[in-house]
Amino acid sequence: MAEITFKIFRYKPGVIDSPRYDTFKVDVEDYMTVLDVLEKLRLDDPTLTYRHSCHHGSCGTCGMLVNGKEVLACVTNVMELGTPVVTVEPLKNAPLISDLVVDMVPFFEKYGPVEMPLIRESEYLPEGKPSEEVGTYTRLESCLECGLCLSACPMVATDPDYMGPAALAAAARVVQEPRGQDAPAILKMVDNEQGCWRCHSAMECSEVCPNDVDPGGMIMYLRQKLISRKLKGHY
Amino acid sequence: MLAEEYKRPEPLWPKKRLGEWFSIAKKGAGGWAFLLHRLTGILLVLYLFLHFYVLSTLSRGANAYDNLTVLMESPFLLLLELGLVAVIVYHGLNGIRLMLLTLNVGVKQQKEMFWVVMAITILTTIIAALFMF
Amino acid sequence: MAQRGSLAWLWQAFTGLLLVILLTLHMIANHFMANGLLTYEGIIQHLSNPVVLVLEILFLTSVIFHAMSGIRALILDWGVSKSVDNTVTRVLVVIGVLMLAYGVWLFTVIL
Repeated sequence: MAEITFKIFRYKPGVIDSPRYDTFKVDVEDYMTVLDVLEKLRLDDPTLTYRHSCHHGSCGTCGMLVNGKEVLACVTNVMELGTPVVTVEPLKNAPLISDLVVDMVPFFEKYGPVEMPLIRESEYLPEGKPSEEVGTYTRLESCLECGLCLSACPMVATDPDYMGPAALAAAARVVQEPRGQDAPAILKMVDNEQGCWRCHSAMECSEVCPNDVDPGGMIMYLRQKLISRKLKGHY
Repeated sequence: MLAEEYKRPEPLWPKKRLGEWFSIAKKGAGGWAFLLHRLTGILLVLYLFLHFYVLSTLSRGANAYDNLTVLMESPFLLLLELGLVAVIVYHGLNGIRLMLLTLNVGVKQQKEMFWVVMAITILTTIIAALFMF
Repeated sequence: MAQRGSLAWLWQAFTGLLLVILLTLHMIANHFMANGLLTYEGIIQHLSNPVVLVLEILFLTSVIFHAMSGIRALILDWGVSKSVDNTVTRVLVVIGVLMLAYGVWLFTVIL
């Protein structure tokens, strides 16, 4: 157990009108995660807001910046951070609602026609059987839609219209394994400057992805697919 | 319906934050590669204009050019030129790295590729320095 | 222009690759073959070689294209609207053509 100082970003229109950092000293047990600390603090200060749900890294709700890096607060052990001061801030590149809560609507809007193409009706139906190629791919079913990748992406930071890593990764997944979806149409949709050609391969998305979806790699997959299609079309 | 009544909050941060490109709070080697590529690219465009200016003296006869190039023997300008070598080599090599990535080659090894790019850049710069000084 | 994104990227990559090759040749030619480009005389002598001249003009063209296309990518990344992007692209094309014309003119003046 150790005493850790938490610097937490606060902003609440109508209550805390100008953004500031509040400092809390917290006795942290070895097992405690950042989310545990937030919940402990909330007992004393009910105005502290943050999003969370499952507590075990499968819902993707509690994405935030801890010491400047995008993480899921529920699976980020405080002692393992190894810093005496822990800074907690909301995700970047998203409209801020209150304290650590950002608006996720723009994130989901980016999916557009890609939508949620990988909902399985049943694992046991014959058409639900994974195709033979599936073993070679990282399964995007593991995408939590937590938005960490969008927060880390330097391109989303300057252009809100860019589709961004998560939606492009979902598109790549459809192309890899269409399951009745129109893969050529999806490829056409991402073949523009707001799609997969905007990426500058900084790979920050893959760096922060909590579930190894590797969105950056998926964007590179889309590009390679598009280039080879173009070459085949011309020659 | 709730969804229709929902009013999007105004973003607290400005929508366009150029600082994110040049921020040094990078999460991985790829982020650094991006930052350096962008920075060296901008420097090279500026250098292109400078290069044009220097060569433009050629149109004003032998004396104008020769008078200007005498300056280039100065250690300070030689040092800048060494910097130019580093910038060019980095931008070129990382450009090749980016091309490979786009062809979906070595995506899993992109960090190692960045370190190779950096190593060759430093090595070339040292060799260039030995030639210059 | 749905394919503008990929075409812009492919051209940038193509000229980039060309530049890596041409710049290597440019540096080898300028620093090892020529004897002293720091004098007017040296330059004229160097450029009298037709192979050098052709390579230099090719180098000039691709470097200008690559630079202008790079500036455009930077401005596009800033999230500008379609019309601003179109204007910027046109302005950059004009600047690029002017620079190329100036460069070629400079060659003709010297030779």
